Amino acid sequence: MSDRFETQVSEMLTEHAKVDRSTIELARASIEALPDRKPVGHSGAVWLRPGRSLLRAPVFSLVGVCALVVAVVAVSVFGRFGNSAIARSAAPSSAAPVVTASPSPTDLLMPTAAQNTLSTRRPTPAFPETLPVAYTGVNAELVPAGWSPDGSHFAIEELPAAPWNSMIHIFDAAGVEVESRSGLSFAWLDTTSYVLIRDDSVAGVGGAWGAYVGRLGSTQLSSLGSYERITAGPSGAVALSLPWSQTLADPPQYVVVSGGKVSQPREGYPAAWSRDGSMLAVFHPTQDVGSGSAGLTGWLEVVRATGEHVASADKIESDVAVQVAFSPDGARVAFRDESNPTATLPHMGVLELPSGSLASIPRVGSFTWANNNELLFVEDNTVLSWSATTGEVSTFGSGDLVGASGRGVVVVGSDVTHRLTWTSSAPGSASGEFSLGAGPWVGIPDAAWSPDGKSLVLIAGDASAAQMDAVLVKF
Amino acid sequence: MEAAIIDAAMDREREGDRQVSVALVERAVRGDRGAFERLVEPQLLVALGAARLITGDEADAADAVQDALLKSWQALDSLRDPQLFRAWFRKIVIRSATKFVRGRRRLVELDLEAAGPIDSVEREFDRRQLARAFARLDSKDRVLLTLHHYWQMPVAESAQLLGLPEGTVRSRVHHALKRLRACYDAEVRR
Repeated sequence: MSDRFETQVSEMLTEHAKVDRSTIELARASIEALPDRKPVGHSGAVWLRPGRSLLRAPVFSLVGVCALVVAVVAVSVFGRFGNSAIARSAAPSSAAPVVTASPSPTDLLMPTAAQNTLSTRRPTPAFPETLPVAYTGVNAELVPAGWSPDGSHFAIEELPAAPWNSMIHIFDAAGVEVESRSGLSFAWLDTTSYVLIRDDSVAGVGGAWGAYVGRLGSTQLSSLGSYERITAGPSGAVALSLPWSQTLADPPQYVVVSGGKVSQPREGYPAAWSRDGSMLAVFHPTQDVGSGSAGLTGWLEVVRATGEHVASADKIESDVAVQVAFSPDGARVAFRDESNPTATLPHMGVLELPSGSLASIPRVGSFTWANNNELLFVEDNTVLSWSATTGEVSTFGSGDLVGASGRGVVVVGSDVTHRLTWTSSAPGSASGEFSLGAGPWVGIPDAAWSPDGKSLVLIAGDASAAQMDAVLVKF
Repeated sequence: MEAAIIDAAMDREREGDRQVSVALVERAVRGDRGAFERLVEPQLLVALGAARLITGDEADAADAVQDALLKSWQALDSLRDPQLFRAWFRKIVIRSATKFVRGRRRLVELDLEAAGPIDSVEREFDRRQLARAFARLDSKDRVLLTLHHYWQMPVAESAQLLGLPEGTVRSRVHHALKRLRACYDAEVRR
């Protein structure tokens, strides 16, 4: 983005932010008209409120009761797995991608001999990286798109300015690119097959997005229909969101793709899968989002992959997105919550499963689970640790970003200095330090970790960089 | 000239923020309305400006800021660190403004006629096209661009305000600018 354009933007905003003097006077007058506030001492703010039962909590309001009723109805109506098996397709394979009406579950499990055109080029890094570079994107954003459940491959989304040119690059575990596909987003279904969403419109006009199933080594793609978003877990669990108008008149819906079958549509906005793919956290909006939305308001439900209700937390709100993370053992769900409008920072809720008891941690930025009982989050350039066992918060380290494999390795660092340190709690525990040429861009997302937690894909680059390096880190 | 006035107001606001004392917040917590007024006065102009950009309407901006004033007044005792008053109040302003947009569920319409003196006809035309493009963005993008290109807020501070990693904020600002550029190009082609 040119500096000149940004200057124009700043000038325009300054110009259009002006308000009449009468409006300023009105605001001043409103201060004088404020009701008396009850005099209280400056409270020493309760840092944690762990272990509060949802049913006992004051927030368990009429909204919560209605939400549970809706949940019961939703489960009874939509909860059963649809078992609408994906019809078998013909299995031709040619040099050009072939799209068929629907894939076969058998096809997903039994890939044919590889017929892809391999691209094994080693890129010239954009930055002086000290770690192996798998791919360098030019004028494009790179985002880690997950490892196959067996850890044999990983994928990277390349999103250039023109979205219809977006590509999915697939690499082996050593970081050698094995094939690429046109697509906007990507997820692994199993060790050899995947689902991707791509823009089928001509030159980006029309917004016709479709989901397809593909297989490593095959150019064939089989259509699943019109979907706009993938929510994937590390085990190959995949939920696909149907196109949503962002109004309650047309509630969000999703399907689950599992075992070569697609479930019937269920209500909700999928947020995250548990590590083993047995549970899915689903957001249920209670307010329209609308074209001018800034966030979501609603409640969070944890359901089994088959649709049965497990637990829920009511009245969740987020200015930016639904952020949810299961602990590695699936016994807890952490989520971002901004339902307190006066909080300086978002709160984090931690929902115990299946009891549904709720803990709250104020002032939380991004977060990740270090292990089953320890949640790490960043605040004021410090990485803090919350213990689910004791409810206490302690300092873990210094940095503005943190990532964890959930299998013992934790990386802490700074996207300003580009230096990161790692520690491992595995037997024969070790630690070390490494640097990137820039970034890491988009931090350390959970999707960047290999299933065994021993490899990590990071993106070196920033918004102003014309290039980005996808770097492979081995622990 | 107008820009200089805004800059001066922002400087005063920044200076005022640095001078916010713990005692002032604590007096406000105890119900001292005058202390609260001294706390928020340096914020009013930029708060109204940001709310106007996000809601696209001056009356809505006034309502949003009044809402933010009421909420912050009532919740002052939840502010743990008085030195964070500015960030705390700004977050409430942003949230109030976005909730007004969410409640109205419509595209914002910047008051193009309200634009001040311009350097040339061509520049005025560009600015209006850019304003129309900005109005076509969703409020999430408008919030990001308001934070970075109106408040000139550092990434670290907006990351703190939004509760996101700095890299994520950079990414989102970058993409908001790209979307604005695309909308602007579309306006130019019209």
